[in-house]
Order: sequence, then structure tokens, then C-alpha cells
Amino acid sequence: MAIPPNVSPAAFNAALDAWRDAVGPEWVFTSEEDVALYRDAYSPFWGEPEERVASAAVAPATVEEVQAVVRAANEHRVPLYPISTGRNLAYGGSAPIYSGSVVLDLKRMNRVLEVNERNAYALVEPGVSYFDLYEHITKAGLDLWIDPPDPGWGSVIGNALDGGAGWTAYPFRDHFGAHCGMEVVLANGEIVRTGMGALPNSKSWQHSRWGYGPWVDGLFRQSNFGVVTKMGFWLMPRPEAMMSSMATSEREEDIIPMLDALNLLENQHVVNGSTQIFQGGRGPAGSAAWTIQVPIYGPEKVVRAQMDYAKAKFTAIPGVKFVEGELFRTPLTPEQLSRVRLVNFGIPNLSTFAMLGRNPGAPDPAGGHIGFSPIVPRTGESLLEFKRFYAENLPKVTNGENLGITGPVYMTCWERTLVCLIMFPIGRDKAMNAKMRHAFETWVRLAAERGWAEYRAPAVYQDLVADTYSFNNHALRRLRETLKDAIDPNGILSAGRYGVWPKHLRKT
Amino acid sequence: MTSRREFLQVAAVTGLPVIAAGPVNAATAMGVWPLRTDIHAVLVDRRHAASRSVGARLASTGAQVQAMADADITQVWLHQIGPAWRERPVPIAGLTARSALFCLEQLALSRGLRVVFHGEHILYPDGRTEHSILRGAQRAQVSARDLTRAGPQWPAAIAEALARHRQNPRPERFGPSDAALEPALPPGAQLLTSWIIAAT
Ligand SMILES: Cc1cc2nc3c(=O)[nH]c(=O)nc-3n(C[C@H](O)[C@H](O)[C@H](O)COP(=O)(O)OP(=O)(O)OC[C@H]3O[C@@H](n4cnc5c(N)ncnc54)[C@H](O)[C@@H]3O)c2cc1C
Repeated sequence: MAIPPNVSPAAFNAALDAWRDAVGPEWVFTSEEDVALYRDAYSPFWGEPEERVASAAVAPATVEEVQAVVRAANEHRVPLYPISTGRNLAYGGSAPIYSGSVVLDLKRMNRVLEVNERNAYALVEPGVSYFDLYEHITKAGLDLWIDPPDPGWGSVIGNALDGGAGWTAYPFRDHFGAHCGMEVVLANGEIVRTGMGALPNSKSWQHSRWGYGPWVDGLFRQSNFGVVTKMGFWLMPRPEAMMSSMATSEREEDIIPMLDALNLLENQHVVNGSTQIFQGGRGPAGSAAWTIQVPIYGPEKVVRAQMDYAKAKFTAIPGVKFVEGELFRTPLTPEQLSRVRLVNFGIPNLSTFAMLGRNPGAPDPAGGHIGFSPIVPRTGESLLEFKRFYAENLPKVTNGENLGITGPVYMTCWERTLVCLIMFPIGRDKAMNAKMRHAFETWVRLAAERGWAEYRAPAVYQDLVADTYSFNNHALRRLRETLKDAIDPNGILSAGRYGVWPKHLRKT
Repeated sequence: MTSRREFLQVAAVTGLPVIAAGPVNAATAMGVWPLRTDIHAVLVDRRHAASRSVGARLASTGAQVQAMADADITQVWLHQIGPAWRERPVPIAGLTARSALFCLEQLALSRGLRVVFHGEHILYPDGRTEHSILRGAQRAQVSARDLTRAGPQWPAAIAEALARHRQNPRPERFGPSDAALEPALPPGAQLLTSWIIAAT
């Protein structure tokens, strides 16, 4: 049995005994085989000493059990790493940031506590996956959509807490941004409810996000200040229709007015769908330099009117062509479902893994990947600068080798920004993984020199990326450390997550 | 547990072809059919002849066989395996792409099921096939050498091994399989994965 670092065998055994009492012995996992299930299948350090691994796992089923587990961990100073469904592939899987932590696995807490159709919200526990919530809503016949990320098996809470995003309309595809109220178990075992939830018998916990007084919810995003045991989410009423058109241009520099048009349309809430900006491909007049998707969700009449307006804005740019897409009335027919990207219609699925695995289009894939996705201002000038930056530096970053790194893919997950995704294949070849690591680390540094940084990072790179947010001698990190010391003085929760370490593990 | 009738209805709804269950009158090169199996569902990838062949043979053991169009398990998961596992942790098997096994394994873990049998079959463009059994060889009474000896009949042999596999009556512990990633293969080669996921 592995033992967490800086914990005596006696203290660890005492914690294990307390957990067995609290959750039942069958839900405390210490065998090598069981603990191996929490390894990160996409770890760029797989099988190397730097791989982050757990020492044990404990799986409570209720909030009271979570409290008991956390209290025992605090008493015996055992590091915990809470996960919801733990399917954070590409960002660390279920493995802890601080090797030797005990995974606090919340998968068994999987109740959909409430779905309210009239006010369009849900209240869920951490183990509720997108599949579960979709099924609940579908079975109940509610006229609501969820917004799943590509893999539908993840946790609605876990994804939101890690800063995840989906593929339907704004604001719902910003998963943390679409939450309303949470319940958190703090490191001392105390339960806090945020927003209106702080009112005993509150009637409006999922209706009003801000509550009263300083808003603390943001402290629990990409953080290690508490264990989230409930979270509310605002849902999109099923839109009557969805239509996705395409604006294309043959000239490289046209991306500047095209993105200005897209920004205007988005900031006016005319275009609300998730856009991708493709380079190349075939446009209406032959080969296109740029293609921008223009998706709109809403009532059919409104969608048609908004699409006309969008078309007018794009075609006012000389040389830009606009191809109107098919209008889909919801719910889609089986034939339509077979040819659309399901996540754009709020339907969770796992097709992304079939595409990542070996298939006719990718005869020799690695299977795994990690991503570097710097946030860049949504302007054509910035996009062109990033494109040049990528092309100029790729040979340097890869030492001139073809490592199979792909990108950049330009996405519009959040308002006013571009997410410029670069993907690094990860396999079991240690030498190749070392090259990927070198490339990843170099991109992070080079991008930071230009004022661009990642919004989310693989577990092993959370320190590296946090280091780039260094304004005023790392003032933001120091503020977070002050909070950490106050909220979790023994540093038992998710040590190192997003670069925040407890006092006793901080590098000076 | 989903009845055969419900299963066929689901298949009709989802448009997934079901290879009919029922006796297959082919005595295989490897053994005596029909075997009976407690495997609840068998997943095959209809792009591959070997996979279709395994499906046809296992249909005769009473298993419900789902032929997927590719490696995407979503529909089978939503309409067949997810609902079945909510009732009880029934065993499932397949001859599929690695990524299909990976997805099912991940979903299985939270329900206490594990990959208890795992074989890999590399199909080279020149017609050769290379086999390895990574887990469960003894309980399925099969070895890579048996499969090599079976030559082009290896799908029948692996079907029989899947049907013959019996769980250890004593609880066993299994870590994750290595299905998450893809091994490097020579150009043109393809990989099929045979597997059983069951409660341990
Ligand atoms: C092919 C592929 C495609 C992907 N596509 C997308 C995509 O479209 N969008 C996207 O957002 N992501 C995507 N991902 C990344 C990732 O798989 C998903 O974000 C996934 O939903 C995260 O896993 P999870 O939901 O199980 O969260 P978890 O793994 O449970 O949680 C993530 C992290 O949040 C923290 N945490 C979780 N729960 C709690 C809690 N209750 N209390 C305190 N801290 C907690 C933990 O530190 C944990 O490690 C993709 C990954 C792959 C491999």
C-alpha cells in the first residue's frame, strides 16, 4: 500500500479507519489495482517518476460522508484530491496534482436533485454526468436542453469547476458562467451554501446568482478551497430552431473585417452559437482563405430574421460570400441526427473517441493528447499574429521534426475571445512524450512573451502556466496563497491545483 | 434486465443492426457449438469481417449481438448497455476497435465492472494476423499460439474463447487495461481488440 508523502503510516492508517467507518470499508480503495484505476491515461509522464499518482481513494455517497472524510483527513493531515466523475482526460484524468494524495471520488453522489422547466435550471450532485442529466430531462419530457462538452460522460459539476465549455448557445456553453449557487464542504468539514442558498429554506437558490454581499463562487473554480457537493446550472429552453451558415473569403486579410462583423453580431446577441474559424477549404467561389461558421439558435422566425441581418453584415464586406445553411427544427428527425454534430444540439455522446482512435482518416494515431489553448483577443489582427507566431516557431519548438502536433484551431468558446488550440499527441513512447513536453513547455513560454496565456492546463503543467500570470511579482498567486492559508490551513485539499500550493509545500 | 424483445425494439429505434440470436449450424475448427454464455451483449464492428464473424458465432450462444457502424459506442451505451447496467452489472464482450473498449471500460469502472479478458489482433495488409492475449487467457482457455494455429479461422477461435471464459469464483482485482492509447503499427495494419467486461 502506498502512503502519502509526509504522512506517517500510523496517521494514514488512522485516517483509513475513520474513512472505513464513515463510508463503509468497500468504498475505501488501497490495493494497487484499484488505485491504478485513477491513473491519468493521457499523462505525458506515463510510467516515469514524475507521473502524478494517487495513494488511495475513498468514495462517499452523501454530503455527511464527505464531511466525515474531510474532517478525518484534516485531523491526520492527509492530502485529498476531490474529483466528480474524474474523466478529465487531456487535463489530468482522475490523478491528483500532488502525487500521493488520496482521491476523494464523488461519483456515487449522482442524484439530479431538481430540474425546473419553468425557470430553466437544474440542481445536481457531482456524480451526475451529462448523459445522466440528458436522460433525466428526456425521460421527464421537459422542454430543456443541456450543453455537453465533446465527451458526454463527464460531470456537469467537474467540467464547470475545471473551466470547461460546450458547443450550443451562449451563455450556456460557458459552464461555470452558467452556474447558479453551490454547496461546498470546506477543509474543516463545514458546509457553505453560496448566493441565495445561504438563506435557510431559500426559495431562490438557483434563481439569483449574486445573493447578498461579496460573491465567493469564483473562489471554487479551478481551485482548491473546498469540495463542491451541489451546484445549480441555468439551462437553455429547447430552441425552436437552429441554423448554421458560413461566411467565406478568399483573401487572407479579410479575416479582420470578418471577425469585426462576428463580434458585432455576437455582442448584439444576434449570433449566439459556437463558431469555429477554419483556414482554407472550399468556399462558394472556389478555394477559401477563411471560413467562419455562423450558428443561431432561437424561434424559427427570429432565427431567419437574425440570419438575414448577419448575412447583410458579412456580405457588406467586399469579397465575402455567405452560404445559408439548413434550418433545423427541433427536435431533429433520426435522419438529421445521423448527420449533425450532436453536441451542437445538446445531445451528449462519445463519438470524439472514435475519431481520436485508429480510423480510416487517422491510420496511426497516438490515442491520447494534451492541449495548449491560449486566449487571444477576438480580432483579425490578433488571429493573423497568432498564425504567424505559430508558423515561425513550430520548427524551433519541434527541433524541425514532424511530431504530429496539430493546430491551431480557432474557437469562440467565450465572448470576445479566440481560443487557439494546439494539440500534442500523447502515447506510451517515453522518448516521444519527452519531445511533446519540450514542445508544450516552449509554446507556453513563447506565448507568454507575446501576452497570451492558457485558460486551463494539464495537471503536470498547472505550475508552469500559473508562473506566466506573474504581474507585479506574482501578486495574484500571493493573494490566492493568502486565501488558501486562511481557508485550508493544513493544506489538505487538492494541493498544487492551478498553481496554488499550501504553505508547507510551497517552493520559496 | 432487458428482454430480448425489448432489446430488438431498442435496436429498431436506434437503427443499430442486430445479428439475430439463434443456432449457427457451423461446427468451428476449434470446438463444439453451440456453447451457452452468460454474456449479456456482444459488440462487433461491422467494418471488419472478423468482427462480423465473431458476432454471428456468438449469436448462437444466446448473446445479443450489436453491430456498430464504427468505434462509436454512444448508441449502444444509451440504449442497451447503460440501461442494463443500471439494473445489474451484466457481462459484455466484443471484438472492436481499441477506442470502443476504452470508452466502455471507463463507463464500467464506476459500476464495479472490469476488463477481465483482453486480446489483441493485428491484421497486416499481407493477410497475416498477429495475436496476443493480454489478460484472461487461462480462464478463456486460449493462447496466442492457438489463435495463430487457427489461421484464417481465428475469429471462430476467439468467439469460442469469449463464450468459454468463466470468471474466477474468488473475487479478483484488475487494474485498467491499456486500451486508452493506440500502439504504433506498420502502414496499412489494423488492430482489433477482443474483450470481456464483467463484475469481479
Ligand atoms: C477527446 C476529448 C474531447 C474533449 N472535449 C472537451 C470539450 O468539448 N469541452 C471541455 O470542457 N472539455 C473537453 N475535454 C476535457 C475533459 O475530458 C472534460 O472537460 C471532462 O468533462 C472533465 O472531466 P470530468 O467532467 O469528469 O471532471 P472531473 O475530472 O471530475 O473534474 C475536473 C477537476 O475539477 C476538480 N473537481 C471536480 N469535482 C470537484 C468537486 N466536486 N469539488 C472540488 N473540485 C472538484 C478536480 O480538480 C478535478 O480534477 C475533452 C477531452 C477529450 C479527451
